[in-house]
Amino acid sequence: MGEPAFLILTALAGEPKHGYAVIEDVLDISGGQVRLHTGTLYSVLDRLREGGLIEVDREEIVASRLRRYYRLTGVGQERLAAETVRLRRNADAAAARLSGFALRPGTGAA
Amino acid sequence: MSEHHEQLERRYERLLALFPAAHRREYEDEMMGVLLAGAAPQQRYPGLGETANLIRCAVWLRVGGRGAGSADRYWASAAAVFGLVVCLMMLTYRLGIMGAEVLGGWRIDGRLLIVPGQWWLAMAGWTVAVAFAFTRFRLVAAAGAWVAALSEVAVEIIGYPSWPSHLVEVWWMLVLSVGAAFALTVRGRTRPQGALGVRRTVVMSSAFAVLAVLPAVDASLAVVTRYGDGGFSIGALGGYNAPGWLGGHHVSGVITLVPGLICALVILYCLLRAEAPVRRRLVAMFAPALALNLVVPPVFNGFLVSTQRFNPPVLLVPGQWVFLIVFPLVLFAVGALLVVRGERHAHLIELGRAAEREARLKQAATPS
Repeated sequence: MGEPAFLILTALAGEPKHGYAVIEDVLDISGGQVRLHTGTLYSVLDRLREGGLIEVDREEIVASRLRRYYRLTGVGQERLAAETVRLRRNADAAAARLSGFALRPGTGAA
Repeated sequence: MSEHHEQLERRYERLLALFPAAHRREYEDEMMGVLLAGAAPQQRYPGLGETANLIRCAVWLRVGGRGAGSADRYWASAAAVFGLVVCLMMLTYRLGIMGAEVLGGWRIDGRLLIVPGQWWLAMAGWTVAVAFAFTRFRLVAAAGAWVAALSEVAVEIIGYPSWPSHLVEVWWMLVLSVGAAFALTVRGRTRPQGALGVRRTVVMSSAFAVLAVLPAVDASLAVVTRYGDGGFSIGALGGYNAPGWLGGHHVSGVITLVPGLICALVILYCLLRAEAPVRRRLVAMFAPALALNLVVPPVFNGFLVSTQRFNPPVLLVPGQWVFLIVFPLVLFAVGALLVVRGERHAHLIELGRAAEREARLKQAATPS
């Protein structure tokens, strides 16, 4: 699972959101590091819908324009949980290696 | 809405028009809302990064990348089915000829004939293509189909100067072969059983397998009559009693024809049971080869009848080559266009009906 898909699933794990709210939430979750473009957002949303990871929660018309709210499905929740475990394991492994790296003579922080 | 936003909206509309129709139908309204929500108050032009992203995503979806709209998925499904069916057909054709010739030869003089080396490469290619067409290994299946198709074309091109009429007669098969190789290349990760259903895919493949062995059964059960002068004739059950080897054509009788017809109908039934959008695309894909099969004999009648009477044979003129190459391409393009336009038309009609229904319901709910 790519980073945009992971962040979008994370954004939808809280409550159903529409497209622009997802972009803002992803920006917030990533500490301002990831700003999703609209093309990317809807390519990933379409793929996640096709895979059954998210679904449409409700639709409304705002300023004569369709606005859809998306929510996580049970499958999406499982995938996000599994991906979180995988990423945490990798991050823990990296942190453990880095702490050992810093303790070795000549490699400590300047 | 401010004039700035109207200009910006028009420019975004042009960018969104690059996306496939199905994707636009599903997400255009939403995407426009998001794009405008993210725009600065006086913004008139789309940002460079946003523009590049929209173009990149649109191109990616157009070439059938992941996340393609449903219409493009139908094309991918049809390509997967078309690729498999043609590869099965060509493999069946080659195996049928090989079985009938080897067993027919064995019936006549007790010796097993060796199949000409020129067909081994094509048979190997079709076998690999069929085996991997069911899997997500797109490149392996496509490579097998390309090797087989180009091998079929090369054999015909090599034989063309001495036997030009044969190239014209089998041109439709060459078109199918190259089309199948192309289809297996562009199908993406779609598998044919996804469109046909696993059970129908198994039934259809089994029908092809039966078709492949029927000529061998026919030849092995054929009646061989020997004459005192060393001559012979061979006749399959219910078929012609062919003196000699009937110009190299294998004999076929009731065993090939009756179960063969049943198998062909089973295959047709399996294809017709595919969902309607896939079925329409399959018709557009098969139409060029079927039309060539029907049109070439009357259009090239003079050429087919007379060319072999000359020594060396008369070759095709440039106009005839142009017809053979352009006709199937144009026919496919027209077919694809009709499918897309027809579906768009049906969608618009459906939208109109839904709007009418909604208006009637609103009217009924309004207190008089």
